[in-house]
Amino acid sequence: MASIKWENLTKDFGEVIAVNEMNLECEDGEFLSLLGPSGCGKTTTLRITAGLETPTEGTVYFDDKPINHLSPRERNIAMVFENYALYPHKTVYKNISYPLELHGMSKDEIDERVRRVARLLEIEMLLDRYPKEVSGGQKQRVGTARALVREPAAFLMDEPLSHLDAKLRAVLRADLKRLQKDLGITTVFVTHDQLEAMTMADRVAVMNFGFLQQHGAPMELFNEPANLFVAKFIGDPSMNILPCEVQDEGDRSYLVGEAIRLELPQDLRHKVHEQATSDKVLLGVRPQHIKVCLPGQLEPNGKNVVSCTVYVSEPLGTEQLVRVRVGQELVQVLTGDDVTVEMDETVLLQIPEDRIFLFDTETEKRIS
Amino acid sequence: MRGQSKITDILAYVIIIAVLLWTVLPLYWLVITAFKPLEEFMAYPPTFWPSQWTLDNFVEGLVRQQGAPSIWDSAVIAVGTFVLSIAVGVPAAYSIARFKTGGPDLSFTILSMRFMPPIVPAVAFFLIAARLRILDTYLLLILVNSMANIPFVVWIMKGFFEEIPYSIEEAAQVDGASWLRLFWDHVLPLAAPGLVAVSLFCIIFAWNELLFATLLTGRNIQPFTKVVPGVNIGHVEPHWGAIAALGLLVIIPIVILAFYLQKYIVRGMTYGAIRE
Repeated sequence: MASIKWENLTKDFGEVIAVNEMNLECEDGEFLSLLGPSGCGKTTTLRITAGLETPTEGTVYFDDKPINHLSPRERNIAMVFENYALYPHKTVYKNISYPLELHGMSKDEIDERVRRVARLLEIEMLLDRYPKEVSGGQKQRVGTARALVREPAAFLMDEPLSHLDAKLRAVLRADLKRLQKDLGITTVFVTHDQLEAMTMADRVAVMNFGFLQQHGAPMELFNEPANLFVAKFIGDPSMNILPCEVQDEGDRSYLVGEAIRLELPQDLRHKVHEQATSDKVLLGVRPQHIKVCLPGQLEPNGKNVVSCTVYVSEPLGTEQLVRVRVGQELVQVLTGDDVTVEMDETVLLQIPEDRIFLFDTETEKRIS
Repeated sequence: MRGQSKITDILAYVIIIAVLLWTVLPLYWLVITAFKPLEEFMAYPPTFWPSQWTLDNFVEGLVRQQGAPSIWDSAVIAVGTFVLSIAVGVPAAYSIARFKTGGPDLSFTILSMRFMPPIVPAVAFFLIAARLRILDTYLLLILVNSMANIPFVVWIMKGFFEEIPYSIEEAAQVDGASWLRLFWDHVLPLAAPGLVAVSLFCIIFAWNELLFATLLTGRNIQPFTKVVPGVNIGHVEPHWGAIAALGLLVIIPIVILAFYLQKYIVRGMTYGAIRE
């Protein structure tokens, strides 16, 4: 078991700076997810942690001891690769037992451990097969078994689920989460899928272009995104963003955009005046928080109402994803199946005051 | 178009038979000549089946004409060449494939040395070897044959090493393997088809080599390629029977080797273990 700390980690590949002065910690036994789009530096960070790449600057610590100088085999970590990296010329059994053979364990003990892990991951019947005789999901489990069998100080997983079909991914998400909790091994999990990160991790670190954008518990990122990127990346369907201008009228302020006029809540009003670089801001609101009402169904407090036309409605079962035209923009609304709308129908959206996010147009930071 | 296909069929058969005869007939002739007694293989018109089967030619070739020691010399050179070429070529190929040693052009530069006909440096080798006093030694012939083979080994093995996904080696490192260990456990087995192919090539090349075998040897080393042409009845007339017997004998080891090794040249060993 080990805690991991990345201090001022930088990696540049000549023209591209893959990781930019990253400072982050992962506690012993924690499940940390590194989340971000392709090329954001998350895999590079993981590989540096494994010892497969050396950082240009900065230090990695295991249990507060610097390990930059240690080769991968000296680090007591186990890795699950995106493309599984199974040994094609060895049986599944031999694939899993290989790390133990390298450490000179006795044959009996190896056998016991391999079978135990295989049982855990339900691949016992595959032990005599070769990697090419086994399905994608099974290969993933073999790779995980090979990592588990050593009981290392930390697991490093590089998008292990990304090549599996959606149903299998859902199953393995739950399995891996449960496994990690049962074993209590520090895990760093790289993914570009925000759903994986949100559902599995204790803490999520969002990266973009080599920079750490924000880190915290999943719900923290969902409810209090630090900037526009995190706000849009987390949550599916993603947050609606509408450009607005702040206009003061007496002691009230309004957010005015194309086809929108919303009152700016008082608590935000002060902060806008303090923090915003100009009076142009970006309004953010999640599809789940917008209420759809037909004209005539308005609630008594008819504040913050936007009129729009339905572009298309997508039934999802118990929910509906309705896209509406607000001026030039398309806004997504996730609503229940009790609301029926027709295409090109005029509807009213009500945006709750406490669900409004504001972002500075220039810095893209959230105003809070 | 029934008539048409019949004609092409017949044509196909004719060509196939012609090619078969072209390749098999000399071999057949070799075999029967090896077992014919002297009067018969010198006779004209030639017979296509020995009237008598004899082993005299084998005795003549191997013992009286020094065939046996010459086969031994060739064997030593062939094995030595194989060992040296692989020992130097394989690590070089790996180094170039993984670490890009020597820049992007080194492997081609090495290969280009093979473009040069061996006769070009032959005289230079003679003079250098004379100076170093290694003329007419196994060492010299092994060195010279290896010089010709190493470029080929490097070129082929580099290709095979590059085909092995690097993530396998990374996984082995993370699992706890040292470079040497992972080379032995993973890289070599996965490059086995290439390894077998180049090994065979090195052996066959050195086994059949004639130019250096004659130019750089004297009384001590007598590879069979040098000895067999001189196997005569008396001083002038070639002893065809002995020549055929020796010829047959030197083909056999190669055929056995190739036959036994062909199962290791199995493509697609990595298929399916890596999600491409």
